[in-house]
Amino acid sequence: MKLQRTALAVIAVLLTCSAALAQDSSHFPITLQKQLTARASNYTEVNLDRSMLQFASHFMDKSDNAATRHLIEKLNGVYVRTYEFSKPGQYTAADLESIRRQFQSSDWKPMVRDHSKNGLSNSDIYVKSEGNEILGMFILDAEPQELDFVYISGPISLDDLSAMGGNFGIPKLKVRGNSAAGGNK
Amino acid sequence: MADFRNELEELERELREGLAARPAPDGFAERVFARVASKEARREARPAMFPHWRGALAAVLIAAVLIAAGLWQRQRQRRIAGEHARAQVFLALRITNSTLDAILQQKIQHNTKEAQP
Repeated sequence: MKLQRTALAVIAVLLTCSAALAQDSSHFPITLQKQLTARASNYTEVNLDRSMLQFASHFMDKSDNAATRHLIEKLNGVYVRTYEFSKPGQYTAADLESIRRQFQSSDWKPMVRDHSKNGLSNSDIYVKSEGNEILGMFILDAEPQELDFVYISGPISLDDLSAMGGNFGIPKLKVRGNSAAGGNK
Repeated sequence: MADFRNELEELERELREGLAARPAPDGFAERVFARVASKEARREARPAMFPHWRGALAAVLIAAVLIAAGLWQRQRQRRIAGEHARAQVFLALRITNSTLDAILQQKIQHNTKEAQP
């Protein structure tokens, strides 16, 4: 009886932890999301975890790009946030920093950091790599009246993203990573 | 002529006798009512053909229709959810590529400006 209770308690703790992890998997601070959503005149939030990506891949027909299907089948998650504001000043540098802070661990490396001196544009690309393989990518693009975040978890490369361009409204990458990579400012 | 008249009279007499009202035999009405009552009683007592089978068959048919409708609805909802997820994937990839491209192009422009004397 005591063993059963212990087992139940362990299961409950594990479930709570997994739920918390699942909630946090998008890497976007929940409170900041709510604030930005409230301030934005228009916003888009896309949450696709592994199961959702797998599910979506089953509904890609033959006309869909094979590269797209191949890419999403191996990803763990894709989380996108775009916020459009009617006027500047709807987010602070501290807001951006609270997001960046999550990608300043040893696992993540800044691939691109482009911050204008007047603070009008802030762009960051962080990648999580293991050996030569990129296992995650975080993109932040901040304009005075627009904020875009993209977090991709799983094996991904600019070549993969570039291969999908030109189909289904996905723009082609006019430039590849090698021309901009490593340009820390 | 007299023979003919006799024959007519004879025929008329026979008709009159034949069509004359005669009282029903004693107990005729009772016997008729008793017979009708016994027939009805027998009809009621006879069991209907497979009464339980009919009910079961109807229940099975209703259940089959409900299950088929449920499965169809579930399949339809799954397909709608799948199409929605697929659209979300393409939306996410569109935003990803456009954001990435904008950043990389911006970076190249900055690098080019800095490289210029």
